[in-house]
Amino acid sequence: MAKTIFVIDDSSVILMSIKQILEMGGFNVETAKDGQEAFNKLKTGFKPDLIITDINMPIMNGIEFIKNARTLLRFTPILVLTTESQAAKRDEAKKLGATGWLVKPVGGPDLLKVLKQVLPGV
Amino acid sequence: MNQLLRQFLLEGRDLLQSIGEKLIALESTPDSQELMTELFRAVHTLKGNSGLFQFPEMTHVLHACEDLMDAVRDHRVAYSQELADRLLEAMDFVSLLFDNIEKEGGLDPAQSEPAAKISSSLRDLIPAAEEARKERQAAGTLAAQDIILPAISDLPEEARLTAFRAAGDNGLHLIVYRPDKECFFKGEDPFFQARNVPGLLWGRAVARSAWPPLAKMDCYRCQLDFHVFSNAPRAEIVEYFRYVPDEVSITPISPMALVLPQGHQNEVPVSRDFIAEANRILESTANTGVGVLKALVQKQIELFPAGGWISSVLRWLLALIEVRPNEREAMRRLICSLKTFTAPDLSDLYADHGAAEPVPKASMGPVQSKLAEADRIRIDEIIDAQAEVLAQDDRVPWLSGRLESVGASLAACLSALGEDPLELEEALAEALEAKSARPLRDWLTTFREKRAPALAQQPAAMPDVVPRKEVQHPAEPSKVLQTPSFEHSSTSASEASEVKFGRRAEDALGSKVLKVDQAKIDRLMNLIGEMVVAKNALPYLADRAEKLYGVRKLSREIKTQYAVINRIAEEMQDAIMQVRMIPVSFVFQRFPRLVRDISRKLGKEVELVLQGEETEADKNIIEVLADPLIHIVRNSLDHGLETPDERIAAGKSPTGRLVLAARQESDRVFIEITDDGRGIDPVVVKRKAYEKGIIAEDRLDKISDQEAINLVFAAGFSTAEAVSEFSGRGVGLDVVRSALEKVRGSVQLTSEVGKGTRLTLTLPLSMVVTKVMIVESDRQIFGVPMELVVETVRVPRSEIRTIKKRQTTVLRGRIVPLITLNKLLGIAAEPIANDDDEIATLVVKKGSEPVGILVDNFRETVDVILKPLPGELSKLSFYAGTAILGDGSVLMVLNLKELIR
Amino acid sequence: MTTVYKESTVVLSEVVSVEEAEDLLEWLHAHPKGMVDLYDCVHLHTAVLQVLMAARPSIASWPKDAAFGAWLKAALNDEKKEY
Repeated sequence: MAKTIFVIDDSSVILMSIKQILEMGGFNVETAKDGQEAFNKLKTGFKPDLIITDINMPIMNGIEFIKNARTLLRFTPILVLTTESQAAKRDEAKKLGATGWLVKPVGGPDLLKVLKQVLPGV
Repeated sequence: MNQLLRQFLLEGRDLLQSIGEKLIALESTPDSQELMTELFRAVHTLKGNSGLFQFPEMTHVLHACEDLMDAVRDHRVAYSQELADRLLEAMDFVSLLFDNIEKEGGLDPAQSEPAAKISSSLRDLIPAAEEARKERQAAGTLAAQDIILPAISDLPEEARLTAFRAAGDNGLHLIVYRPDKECFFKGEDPFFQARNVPGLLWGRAVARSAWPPLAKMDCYRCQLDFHVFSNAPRAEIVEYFRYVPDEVSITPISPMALVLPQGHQNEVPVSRDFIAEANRILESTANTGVGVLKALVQKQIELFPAGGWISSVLRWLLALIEVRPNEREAMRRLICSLKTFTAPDLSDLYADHGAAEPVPKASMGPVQSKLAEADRIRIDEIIDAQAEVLAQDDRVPWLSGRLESVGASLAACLSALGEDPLELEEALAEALEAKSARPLRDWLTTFREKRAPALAQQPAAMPDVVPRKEVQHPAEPSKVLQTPSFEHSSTSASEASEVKFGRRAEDALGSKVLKVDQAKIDRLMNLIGEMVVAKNALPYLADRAEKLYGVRKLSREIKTQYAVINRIAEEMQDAIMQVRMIPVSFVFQRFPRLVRDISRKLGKEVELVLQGEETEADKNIIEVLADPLIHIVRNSLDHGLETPDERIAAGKSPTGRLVLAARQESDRVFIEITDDGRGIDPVVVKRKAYEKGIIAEDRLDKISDQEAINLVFAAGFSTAEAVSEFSGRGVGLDVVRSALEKVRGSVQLTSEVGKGTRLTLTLPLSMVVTKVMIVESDRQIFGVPMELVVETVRVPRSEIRTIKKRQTTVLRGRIVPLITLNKLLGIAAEPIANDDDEIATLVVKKGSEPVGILVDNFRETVDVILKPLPGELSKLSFYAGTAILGDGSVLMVLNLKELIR
Repeated sequence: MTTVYKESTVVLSEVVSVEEAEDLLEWLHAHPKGMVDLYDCVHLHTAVLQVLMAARPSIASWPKDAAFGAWLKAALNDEKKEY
């Protein structure tokens, strides 16, 4: 059964590139453009196998989103998209319940490697 | 001493402290980019601050530190123990300078010599780049402290055999993974991680403690540890665990350390013939012999029960023959153990096995195995570093500080090793008294000899050390230092002539101010906020007691109690507010430097005058003030003040004057920024505003000069003809105004052409309780600050008229424009009328005109503590902030001023 | 479904997720003699693993994946002292 990955980023370029990589890797992909939209989607009962979220987003940023998402999805792995310089954000995100991080720009082999590491059954 | 200098010293000591802490933290995580960046920033700030004063000695040293840190940050130089020592030494020196400044108000010129020496010694570290980098890579990371390595003997033989046979060129690592108890709630699955470790040879899950009865078990707290053998390169393992570096310890293990036979010993002995034959083969030099031995051993194994000692020894023998046929000595000892039934000691054989550090015998014993191997290596490194420090020149004024810090480091090592510190303390006392490092040095030499004979043979750094066997110094009992080294500095503090300071010793004594983490005060603040809200529930309760249950007396009593709680809560709140007060100098202090730098770049001469820096206000308010103030000052320097030539032409002195003045009046703080520059010309402003479409042509002649000047606050307005580096970055005074309005402050501008400009910022003293009215719109609730609400009325729908496409109504003979809250918020819904077809209308002031805002319903008013929206959300100017309600829900409080603008 | 509860046996198959730990704990608590069939199981979430380690049920069959089975056998058979 194909796993579903929820990708959240306000940049449509990044959304598209990640979506493409993941779909080629055999995943179902859902996307949202900011934390609020993503959270609303989760509130409808959507339950992805993994979430990948950007940190800097309008309306609801990634950090807030993780905080909110953890109230609905206790155990779902969440990866944050960060830049090299955002080590502090990574730690903050980890404290709030993120599983790990991906460093932008995200390349195909990297992404699939990390997924293999955090998603049993891939 | 002036306020600024005092602030500099206060802050400087904080910075020194944090630099020291970060340096020490870096010792255990030398790869932390974040720590490194913070460290650099702290050093940089301190250097920048010192530049504001005439302390060239201090600035020199700090500048050298900064350059060094910069090199480290850019990976041109690797972080090392030596580097940390130099930096700490430099910080000690700076701290000494602080003491001088505090006592004498200035610096002794004699300090310039040591300053130059330290600077050059720091700079000496910068070029040696390549070597240092290699060292750093070799060092690896230190495992988390509380992870306890299992004793080798506790690992099943099968696991050890597998690992022994599969250990390749990359070395062998024992990984102990202790996941965070709450890790499941971070989407982690440690078992999955453990199963997929690169180079996995063997692994197991181990319960951290005995299992509770099932009824009491919390299956969502992780109670498992994982032990894994891996033959992947260390770097790969570290990379694999990058999300949880604190939860794993990765220890290199020499394969030979795994050779440890186990089994019951009540069995028939091995035949003498076998032993004799095996030994004979091992003694001969022929290569073929090993093959013969292998066959012999295989035959023997079949003869003995698998659970017994002999079988186990034979299995190891076989493994050795197959994987490491050259380890003949080890084989010989194993064969010997067939007779003795005691484990062979092979520790001397694997001391030089590749990356694997000698795992001492201790790893098989119960006590010492608690100290992780990596820690032990680290301790040896620390001890070595102390020896190097002691080998340095004694003739420095900060010798006592150096000695004490060495003493403290060594004492910590001793306690980690479980050794008695008495002799060390004696040596330290003697060294301090003799003002010489020698007694400590001697002690250390003896100690190192005792600890590991090999370690003491490194005299390179200390050529003059004469090893001494006698440790018992003939110290008088009275000289014995009973308490740790801190004692000394407090007694010597009275000796004014003696130069004293130390890395740790001084912090304990100096200041009478209790420093508290901001977060703790913020927490107090939040709690009192909740308390204020919670207590407000009591009057309702009293009401209900009376009306619903008819117990009037109880209602009274509740009300009485409420009054008491109310008073205490208010006092408490006041007290907490007091704690949060900080002086505006916190913000002002950066301006001398800023003004100096900018005016120099612009070719202007400016005299900056700071007044009332001691005026206090709430921390949040002061923090809000910082950015607008910088903006205003830059504006003044850029546009307000003229160049010297222009000033002379205008008949003014060539030097411009910029005054920053703070004062408190009742519950408001006023900050005035005054310059004697060219002022703002209302005619120019009007023209500009018209050109930019900010005002309509028909209003041009009607508005007064003051109104014209206020147009500079309009969004998108900027008087600068050219976009300059300093202020014209597309942000205007409108940003300043909205920043202040967010904390219920305001800004006024007065200006006279040719004479100058004055901006007056008015801020509340604190962000105490705000009264908020809760309104309902489209099934959501919002807060509206009461100070804006003029009245609340219910307007019958029939009385709402549309004039010029705008909804209006008449209230007390006055036409009031109406607008729905939904529309303001972009909600596509009409307001809902009540049963009498009336619509709830909030009348608020827009300037001096009333405006009616239509909502669905009014609810109660509450006291709340308004918190600004965090992070990115703070850019949403439509919200003044959030507040927590009594039931724990979050109320979004609207910034009506912004909404109806 | 990766978890099927039968009268006296629970059959765990494929990847058993963290959400199922709670139910499994309850079931094992209510069925002290319940057995666990792991034949088709390829992974247990840590939470599920520790429930099994705490309850020590009889194992009706071990996983067909031998490497995975080795982990479980060590965890569920090992009578040695615990840390």
